[in-house]
Amino acid sequence: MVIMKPLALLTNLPTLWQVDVPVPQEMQYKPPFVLRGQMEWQGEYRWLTFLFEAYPALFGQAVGQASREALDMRAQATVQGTVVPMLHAQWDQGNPMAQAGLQEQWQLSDVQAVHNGIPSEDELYLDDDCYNWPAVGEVMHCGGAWSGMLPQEHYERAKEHCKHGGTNAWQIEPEPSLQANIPYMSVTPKEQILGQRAMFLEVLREWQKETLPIAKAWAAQVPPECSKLYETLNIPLLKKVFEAAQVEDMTIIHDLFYCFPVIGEMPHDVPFVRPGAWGMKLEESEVMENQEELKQRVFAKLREYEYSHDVKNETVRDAEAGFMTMPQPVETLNTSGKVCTRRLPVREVTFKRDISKAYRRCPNVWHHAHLTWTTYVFAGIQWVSRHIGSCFGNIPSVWNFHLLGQGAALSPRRLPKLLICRYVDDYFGVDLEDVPPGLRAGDVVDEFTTAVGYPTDLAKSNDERKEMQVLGVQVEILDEEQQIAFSIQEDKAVRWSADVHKVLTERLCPAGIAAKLAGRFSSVVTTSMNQCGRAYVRAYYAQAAAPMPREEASPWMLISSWFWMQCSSEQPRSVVSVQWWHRPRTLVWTDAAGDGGLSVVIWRQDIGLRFTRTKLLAAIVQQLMAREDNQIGVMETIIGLLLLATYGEVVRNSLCTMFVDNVGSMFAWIRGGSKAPEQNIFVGQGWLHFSMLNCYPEILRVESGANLADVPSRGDDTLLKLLGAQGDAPQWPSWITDFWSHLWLAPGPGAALF
Amino acid sequence: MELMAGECIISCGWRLHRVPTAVPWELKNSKHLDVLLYWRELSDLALQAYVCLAWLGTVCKTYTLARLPRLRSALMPWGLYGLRVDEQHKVSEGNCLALFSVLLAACLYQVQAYFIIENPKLSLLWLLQPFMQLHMLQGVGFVETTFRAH
Repeated sequence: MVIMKPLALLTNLPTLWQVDVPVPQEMQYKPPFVLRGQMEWQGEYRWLTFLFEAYPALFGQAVGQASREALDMRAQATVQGTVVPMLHAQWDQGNPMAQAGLQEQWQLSDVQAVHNGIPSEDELYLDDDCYNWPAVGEVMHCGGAWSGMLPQEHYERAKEHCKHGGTNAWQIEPEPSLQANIPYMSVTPKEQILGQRAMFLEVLREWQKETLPIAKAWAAQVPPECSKLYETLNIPLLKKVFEAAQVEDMTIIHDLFYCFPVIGEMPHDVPFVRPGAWGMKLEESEVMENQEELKQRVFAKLREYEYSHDVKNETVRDAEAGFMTMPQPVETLNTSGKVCTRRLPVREVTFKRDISKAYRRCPNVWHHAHLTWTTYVFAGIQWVSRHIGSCFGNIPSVWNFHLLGQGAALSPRRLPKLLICRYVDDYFGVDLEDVPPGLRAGDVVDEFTTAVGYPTDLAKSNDERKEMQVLGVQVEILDEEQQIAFSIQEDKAVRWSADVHKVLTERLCPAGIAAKLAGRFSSVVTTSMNQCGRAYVRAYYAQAAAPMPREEASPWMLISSWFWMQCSSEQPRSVVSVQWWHRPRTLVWTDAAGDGGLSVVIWRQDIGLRFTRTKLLAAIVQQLMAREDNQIGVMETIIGLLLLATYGEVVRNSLCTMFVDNVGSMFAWIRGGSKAPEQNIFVGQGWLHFSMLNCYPEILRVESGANLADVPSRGDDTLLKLLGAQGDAPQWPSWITDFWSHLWLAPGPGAALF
Repeated sequence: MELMAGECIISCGWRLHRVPTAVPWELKNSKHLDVLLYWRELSDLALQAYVCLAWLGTVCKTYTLARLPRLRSALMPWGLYGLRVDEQHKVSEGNCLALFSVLLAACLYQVQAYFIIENPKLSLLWLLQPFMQLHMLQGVGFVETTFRAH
């Protein structure tokens, strides 16, 4: 019976609990048939529940059996003159509607309202919050204006209420113990801080001596093939440290003792998971259902690659370290009932190696061993090997390490009070100056992680206090300026400049190279270029997704490559002031009219309202003739350049809110690029200029009717004059008269453009 | 004795296990097998200990939460106000059957006989006051199961 239809039986029959049997295994995973609503049945509409009202025959039989037993017991009790047995309280499952009744109370009003025309409680007591209309005095962040709003109203309102998105950034609060350590590190005498660290290390060493025999005894109990991995771990020590640090989620210790499941349910009530995220579940039956078929498919696709020797070497190395079983030819293994996947051809020589080891040290639970087989071909032989530690490419591996990593970051924060942060398995932080070796924050972390069996990679340790490399980015702390500078790691820049140079000289770019470069540049614009240069990544994505014939580089790709060549040689730095949100605010309104009129209105607290008004240059129009349209979209974008050239000094070092009344132009600015090449040039160069001015632009929409620059663009500046605005002469960037070729001529990335 | 028996599956189960079983009471089989018509006779039989076990498959069509639009609610399990005449009729019939079920169960309990009242798990029947009181008696409880388990 596939129908779920849960029943409740109110009874005093002492044996009726027997009918509450679990759902058979083969039924558990079938989708339930929902008995809601009606369907046409034998010429008339019937409720679905009615069609399935008959009990299953086996249920009748189960009730018969239970009744027989109960009646026998009753007869016996009557003969013996004892009390007739009734249902024992332990089998009473409680009123099933007790919860449902409570839940439904709030729905009552709706039901009443529908059926009786009686107003519901919600209708009687309207809550003000149910409306999202902006009330007068409310902070206006999203831009926009309601119907009928006048430009001067928008101007007044924006001045008073419009909040720049950048001002929210400082509200990101660090974890409480990290927050507490910041004043601790800055106020406490150095001797005391180092004393605390020394004490922690001393206690750690003592605990290590105590717990080592227990850890050894534990490792001795595991199957011999897994013992190598378990011998390196000291879980009892980790437990002691976590208890001392009062780590909230101690389930990780349980998981470490009983090892990590490869499948199962992923809980979502842990600190590092976004609130409201969905839990995930993978059942063994789901994996095992098609495993034979999948395995045959994997085996059929296997072949020897040029990197097969790498895979073989890596597997053997892993086996020697205890993370895998020693590879064996597939013929020597009975593969039936075992899930076998292809060994991922990852050359683990760079960043990944570190992550892989972190995962590797989380042992898989033994009863999931049959799910972790892996296979590859080397020297014409198919080899199989099993993962003992969690493997790369498996979701639970990341999950398991996150659980462990969270506790491993909290302990050094709470016990030796280090300022330490975590990104998956990368730990980094801030330390005092001139600390003797052995007591440096990095050394304390090294000793702690090594003692518990999760050693850090010493080759990647970095204790230079003013400069460090995190996630491929060079981070530099500039004390005097109170600034932090981010730039591309030098060796990284050298690597990709070689690829770009090849594109420029050969004028060819295979899709694979294009995809690789696109990924690199996307990361670069985010980490070290203040989001600039997004316009110059598009060409690589285009080539990766839809390559040109004969893998030729498109003209736009050559322009982009030229831009990146210059970037790699100059290595631009993105500088962030420690209090960067305390910059002055500027408000800008821009508009273009169909007749080629352009206007920019700008407001800053200290200089008041200023504006400029001009016509589109004939030189620009000539270059845009190929578009064969009235250029309104591109004109709206060009105004950004007019703003930067005319009011560059006004927006310098400011949080700039730019109101635009053209949606296409607004999104081109927000995205940092456009499909239309000319628009792409304007936006790309505009962002570069914003960055050079250390200006943080935010682009918002305003309705044309409420746009302060709308009327001036049509030649009427009466309103602006009434508001006391001062006019300025318009200026254009020099390169705009020949924007198609400027990138080839310019000596640096935008340096000489304006 | 199986009352409001439907397809009479429980009677079949009893007979399979040689439990002496009366004719199942189901209105669609005969107009004489109407529990509301003979409620007094049935309760007398129960009080006189002629019945040692009764299965009451109380009709759930107005009680189940699977029914939309609802005729009852958690706060008004006896029926909502302002229903149409035909809806009111269905609700009244449901109320009578519920009262009969609880009356017969109380009679059986009094003579130390057994009763089983069946309804969906999510049925507003369980929120009627007499059923909640019946549940509070010693030796009475709820047992849950599902069609899928059998």
